[in-house]
Amino acid sequence: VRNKQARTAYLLIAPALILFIGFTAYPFIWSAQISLTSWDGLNAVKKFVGFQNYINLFSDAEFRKSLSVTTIYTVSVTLISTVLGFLIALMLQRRGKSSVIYRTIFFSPVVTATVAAAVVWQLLFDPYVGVIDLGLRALHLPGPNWLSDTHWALPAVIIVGIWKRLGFAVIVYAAGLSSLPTSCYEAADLDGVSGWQKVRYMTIPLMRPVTTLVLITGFIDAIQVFDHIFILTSGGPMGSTNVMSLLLFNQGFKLFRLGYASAIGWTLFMIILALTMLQWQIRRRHE
Amino acid sequence: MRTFKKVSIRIADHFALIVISSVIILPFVWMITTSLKPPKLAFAAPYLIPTHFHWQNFVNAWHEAPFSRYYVNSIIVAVLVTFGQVFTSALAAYAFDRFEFPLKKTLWFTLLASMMVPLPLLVIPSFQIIQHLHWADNLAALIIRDAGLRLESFFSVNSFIQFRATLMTPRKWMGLVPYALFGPSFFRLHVQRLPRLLYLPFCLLGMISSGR
Repeated sequence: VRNKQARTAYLLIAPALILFIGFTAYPFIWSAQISLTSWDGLNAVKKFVGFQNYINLFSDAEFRKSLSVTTIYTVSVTLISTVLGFLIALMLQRRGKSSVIYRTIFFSPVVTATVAAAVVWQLLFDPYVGVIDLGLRALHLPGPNWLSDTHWALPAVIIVGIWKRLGFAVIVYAAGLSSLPTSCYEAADLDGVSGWQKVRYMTIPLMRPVTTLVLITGFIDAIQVFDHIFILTSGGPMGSTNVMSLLLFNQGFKLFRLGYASAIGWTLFMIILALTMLQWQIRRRHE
Repeated sequence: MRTFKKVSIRIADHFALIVISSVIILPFVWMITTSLKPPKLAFAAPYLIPTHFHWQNFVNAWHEAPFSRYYVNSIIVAVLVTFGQVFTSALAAYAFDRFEFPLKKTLWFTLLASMMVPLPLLVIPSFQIIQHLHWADNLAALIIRDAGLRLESFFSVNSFIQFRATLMTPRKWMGLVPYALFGPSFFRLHVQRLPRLLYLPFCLLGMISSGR
């Protein structure tokens, strides 16, 4: 029986597995091989250089800058969108018809093509004709030159990142909140527990699995960010928004240093893998 | 006093929601308003309220590039990729959920780790594989590349199967796969994801055809 089960199981997994091997696993391992060479993408000979690319990486100022930019971006987008998403989901609770409208609004960026949205944001951020700066000036606030100021470019791309991500957190939290047992809350009401205490000591602990999901997927998503930053700033000005994926892209497809670019990609993968495992471990300890 | 507090909290909630959702909706409103303005007034006040209805813009844009072809391409790719992903993910999710087999855990973690591979890393090797298959410049390449297991689909099928399985007898399990694929609630979920699926194949299409 076991044998038959295993055969059926493998048969069912086969389509997914074949595509996974062909278009993810195999290219991925291939890129590891490239990362050990100084290949430029054109030369027929791929000169083997060992771990030189990886060693160069850690003395590369551009890479270190990129690492800190990626960290700031990932932490702010993940944390702000998760916390804000939770608060919005709380506010949407027991709201009837209007919650449908709000949810649709919050979710619409998630299903919008990032590239198209980024083009619109670029015009919104414009210092002369952009709605954002015009609005700020109308309120007598200074309107920064968002995308070409080294101090404001990163906040600008973080805003777009949160804009894009928020809807996912809202929907997942809203679904989680709606599945909470109402009887506990009714009991708490009878005992005169305040609204804030209910959130602090009941909702947040009960929502922990949902929070883990939102945090981990958000983190994996944010650390690999590429599209909207590519459109908005292409990593500039002065590398102030040069996240790891962009660095990889520029090294690989503009400077044709494919070996080096692959080394960046592999380092990024290792970082994601390690941090995800860490988050997993922390979560397990809590349970 | 208590009801006063409740009412004021509700008003504050509404106020916060209106502020946040107007920020979220801003790019969409701007896009619609600007798309209706005549070219000379494109960057003139009022910025967010449509005053002119210059539908000619849409006609001009449509004639600017072969959009009908783009739409057909996008729809073909999006529909087939979605079906491919749902199909492969549903079968795999079913197997992981219902059967015990050797290497189950290893396979599971490998598939999970695939989510963490940076996409730009795979572009060159994928392109070479597709060239070897003589599929370059072909929509089929895009479709097959993305038709594999997708974790979002995988998880949604998984929870769907788990839910359904509690309602049915073991003998009917096999009959679930088609239901998971074409059941109304599940299908709706994936139709909502269609637009998001559109952009990735598009970017790759651009890269592949300009790379030649």
